[in-house]
Amino acid sequence: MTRTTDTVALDDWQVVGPSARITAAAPCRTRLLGQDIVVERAADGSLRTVEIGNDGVRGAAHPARDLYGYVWTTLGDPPRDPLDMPEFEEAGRRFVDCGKVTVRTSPLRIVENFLDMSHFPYVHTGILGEEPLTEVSPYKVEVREPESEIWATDCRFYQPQAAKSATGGIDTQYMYRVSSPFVTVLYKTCPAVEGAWDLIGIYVQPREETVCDVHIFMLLLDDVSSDAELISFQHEIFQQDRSILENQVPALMPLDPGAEAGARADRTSTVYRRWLRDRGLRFGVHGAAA
Amino acid sequence: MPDPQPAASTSGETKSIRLPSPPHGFSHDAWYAIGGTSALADGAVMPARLFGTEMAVWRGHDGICRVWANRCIHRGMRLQFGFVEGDRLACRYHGWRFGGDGRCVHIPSFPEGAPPDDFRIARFRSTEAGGLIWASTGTPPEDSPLPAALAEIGDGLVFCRSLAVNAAPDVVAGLAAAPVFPPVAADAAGLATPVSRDGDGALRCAWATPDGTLEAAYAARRLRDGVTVAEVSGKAGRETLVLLTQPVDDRRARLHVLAAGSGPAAAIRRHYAAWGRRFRWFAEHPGAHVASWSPVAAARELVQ
Repeated sequence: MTRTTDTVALDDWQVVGPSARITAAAPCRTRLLGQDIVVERAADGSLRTVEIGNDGVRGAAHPARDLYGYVWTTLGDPPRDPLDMPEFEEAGRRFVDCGKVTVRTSPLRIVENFLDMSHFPYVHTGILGEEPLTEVSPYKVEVREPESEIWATDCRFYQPQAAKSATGGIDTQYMYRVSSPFVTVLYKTCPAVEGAWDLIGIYVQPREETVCDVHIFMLLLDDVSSDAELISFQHEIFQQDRSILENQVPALMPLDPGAEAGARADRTSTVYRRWLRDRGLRFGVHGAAA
Repeated sequence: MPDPQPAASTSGETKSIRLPSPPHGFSHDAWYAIGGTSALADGAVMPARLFGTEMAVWRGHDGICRVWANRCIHRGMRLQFGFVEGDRLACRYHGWRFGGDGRCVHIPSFPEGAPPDDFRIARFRSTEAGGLIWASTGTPPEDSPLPAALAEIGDGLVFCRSLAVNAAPDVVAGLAAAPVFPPVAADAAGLATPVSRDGDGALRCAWATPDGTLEAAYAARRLRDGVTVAEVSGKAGRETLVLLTQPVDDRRARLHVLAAGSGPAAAIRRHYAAWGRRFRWFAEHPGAHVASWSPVAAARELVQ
């Protein structure tokens, strides 16, 4: 297996698994950006990542840390910390580890699908959307500094069943956030508490350019549904997305603005692709050797 | 090797379809059968592949069959998973609707807007004739895909089956011209002996049982890219067998089998459908001795 040479992808933090599953007795053997690694926890709780060569020999060590319930690591030298989510400090918040799903496509296609609302009536029919309420009203997209994160706000969509606990259709409000090429979180109307947001996020771990493990989490103000019900709801949604993701051609995502046709509802995707171009990312990109 | 472009194309799509060099004996500017007409009902969509190029084949409720590039211009979703609405094809991902000429006519996320004229799916030339759907990755010189020899047989031609063969297209076409086993009952033994080649290029093969009695003869003529017509004579009299090789990619083909004879259509279909399975086994086992084939051995391989 060949580790990527793309420093934009390497000089960043990626998630490799939930903190609770990486213990002193259970190191995590996995692959990140084409590099086989083992992530180990010492007796004092500290973490480190060690590269494993093609011959099985242990190589260079890299930092790893716990944050928001997951273990994050890097094979390079990130200029900043992973995203900040103050909601994790709020009382009454419930964290749900929804496990991981393996998807055979570029991490960029996975993130872009997560940011898109116009597929709700067709891919998540009867749940997150349905005909004839297919219009995506205009929303705002900006890149916020100094973190250089993409935020889409004023998003809204009618949803027949917005969440596991929903008892009828509602106009759901959304905000979408991209904090690094493979990390995205959405904020959606909390059915239980007016004015509050529930968080659902995906941390895409690219094992190779077109094989990813997607770690899914939720941070909710729900005290009605069981973990199993919430996880199964997320998995149903994600399996529907996977059927699409593994049938997009090419798997690597083209960033050239003329390569794929866009509509008004694709503003977040347009900004995401331009943002990736500006960063010079090659990993997961069509036409760029990485 | 210059890459021929699909017949009707969009500025956006043409440059993204690169056609590889075709295998020996096949060219882009020709018609190939890609399935039986009966395989595609009104409102159905199915995939097909020619020279490694993915296609989405669909039939509107207007009854017209169309062959398009298997990729939506929006986010690259395979159109084979789309759904048909009237005489339009919709993409499964965002429901974009495309009319018969490939133009996008409706974008559900922005229903009041008119999609730009250049939002168009790349299309391939296609037609239906002789009970088959035909397509081309280029521009065939003839309007009709049926060679004159087939058109003569007319309505008597029975579509028997299509089958996938895990062998290169030129191997399949080669075997169609000179099969190593007789097109008669499965228990006939003997080796194929090419007896002669006629002035008109027909290859004649004959089979004999161990006691020397002639059982069957097969006179094949390769008409053009992937089309072989054979006259089969045996105990049942004389029949015409039409074998159409579809070049799926470098390593795979599909074979479409049609036959005409004096017996009932159902019997002809059943016989040559079974023959097709034996053909596939020999195409996938080059050099195998005819005596090594048995239905049990072939079935066992499928399970392993």
